[in-house]
Formats: sequence, C-alpha cells, structure tokens
Amino acid sequence: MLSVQRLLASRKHEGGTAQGKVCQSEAKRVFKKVALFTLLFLVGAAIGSGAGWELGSSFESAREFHAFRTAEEKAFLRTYESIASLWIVNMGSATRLQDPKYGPEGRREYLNLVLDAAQKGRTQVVDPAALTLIDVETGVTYVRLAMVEEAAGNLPASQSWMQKAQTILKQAGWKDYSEPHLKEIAEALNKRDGI
Amino acid sequence: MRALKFGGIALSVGLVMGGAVGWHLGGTVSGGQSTLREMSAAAGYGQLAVLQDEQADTEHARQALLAFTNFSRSMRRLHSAQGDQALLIDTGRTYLQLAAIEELADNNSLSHQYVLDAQQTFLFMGRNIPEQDLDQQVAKIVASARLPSPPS
Repeated sequence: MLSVQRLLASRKHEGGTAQGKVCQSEAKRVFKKVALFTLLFLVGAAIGSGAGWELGSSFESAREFHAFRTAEEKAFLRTYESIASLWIVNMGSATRLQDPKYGPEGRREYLNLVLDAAQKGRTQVVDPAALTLIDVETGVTYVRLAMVEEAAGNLPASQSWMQKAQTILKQAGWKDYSEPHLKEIAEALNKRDGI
Repeated sequence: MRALKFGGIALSVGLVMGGAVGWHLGGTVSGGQSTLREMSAAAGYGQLAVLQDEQADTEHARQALLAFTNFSRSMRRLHSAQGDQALLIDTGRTYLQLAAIEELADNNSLSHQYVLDAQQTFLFMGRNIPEQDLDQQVAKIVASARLPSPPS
C-alpha cells in the first residue's frame, strides 16, 4: 500500500515539472512578443513624432507667413526678422550690463553680438527708416562699449567708440550727441531694456 | 505571419500616436517662437522709434514714427500678431504723437488725419474713444513739447 502511494506521488511530481516547463516556455514566448511589440511601437512613435514635429512646425510657419508673398511683403519679413533678432540680442546684452558678475570681457562679447546682429540686419533690410533705426541701435551699442572700456581703464578705446557713436547718431538726426548726454541715455536704456 | 501582423499593428499605432504628439508639440513650440519674435520685433521697432522721436530732429522723428505705423500695419497680418492689443495701443499712441508733430508744424489737416487714424486703431481693439478725447491728448503732447526743456 505504501509503495503504491509512493509511486503515485512520484508520477504526480514528474507531471508537475513537465507542466511547469510548458508554462515557462509559454511565458518566454509571450514576453518575446510583448518586447517585439513594444520595440516596434517605440520605433513607430519615434518616426511619427519626428515627422509630426516637422509637419506641425511647417504648418505653423505657413500659417504665420501665408499672407506675405510679394517682393515688398518679403522685404518686410526680412526687416521683421532682423529687428526681432536685434532686439532679442539687445535685451540680453542690456541685462548683462546691469549684472555685476559680468566683467569687461563678457560685456564686450555680448555688445559685439549686438553689432553683429546690426551688421547682418543692414545687409537684409532695404527700408531707409528701418536702416536708420538699426543705426540708432548701433550708435547706442557704441556708447555702451565706450562706457565698458572707460570702466576698464582703456581710455583710447573708450574715446574711439564714443566718436563712432557720435558720428552715427549725428547722421541719424540726433539733436544732442554730446558725451554726457549719450552716457545718460545709455544708462537709462540699460535699465529699460534689461530683463 | 501572426507576428508580422502584430508587428505592423505596433508600428502603425506608434506612428499615429507619435505623429499626433509630434504635431502638437511642433506646432506649440513653433507658435511660441513666433509669438516671441512678434513681441520682440514690435517692441524693438517701437522703442527705437520712440527713442528717435525723443532724441532726433523733427524730420527724423516723423520718419521713424511713420515707419513704425507702417511696420505695425504689416505686422498685424502675421498670425502671431492677431489679438496683440499692445501693438494696437503702441500704434494708436504713435499716431497721436504724429498728430502732435504735425500740429506743432501747423499742418492741421494732416494732424486731424492722424487723430482719425489713432481712433481707427483703438477701434480695432474694441475701444471707441471720442475724437475730442484724442484731441485733448494731442493738445497735452503739444503743450509738453512747447515747454522749455529743463537745464541738464
């Protein structure tokens, strides 16, 4: 009786092991399928989001500028882009001029970025009134550079920048282009344009 | 065959969902950039025109302010400028400034035309300001321009 019970127990154990093996291989198969599904989903999502981003941006851009087709309207867009870029760089440099942690080197770099943006704008813009405004921004930047050089003790460089500022602002029709007045204006603009 | 079918479904679902998210994000980021550029261009042009008005001779001031009103008119056709009330306020005030310049130069009919332009601009933003009120504002600008400037 005891030996029959042992035999039955032994068979039951063998059957359970075989069933476990079957379950394990089934689980592996499902896992592989899920992993493949996930991988393909992620690949699709990556490609889709890239394409969607491009299409969404293009659609937004087309919606923004759809009304500008003629040569005159395109010239306006160039002026628009130039002034926007110039103003963004100007705000950044005015902020840094107000921040005591920036030394003369850092301030010079940011002001040169404004001059670069102004120079680029001059090549893009054809409207004389907008060109005069770019000259005004350039003149104010020259005054700021003169003040940076003066604070750093480089008086010849300071005088050179100030003379350039006076020349360009005189051409832009400024009534008072004396050094003290220009410094006063630049200080007021640093406070106004800084973030 | 079944694996291929499941793979195709996974790829398609990913493409559709990724495409929708990418479209939304691309449009939102691009729209934000457009708004930033619109605000920068309006502020830049406007502030430089005001600086010219304050510092330059009458002819250069007139040119700068008039150029800003033209620039603003073109800008209003940009999608990002739709509903930009600040641009309309700046433009309306610029017309009043121009009206003052013309009044000081005894060009009364042109001055009146600029007051009407200012009124029209404020009307775009839903504010119907009577002509007399705008005339009073022009008179104030003219009076302050006639005052002798304080010694510096």
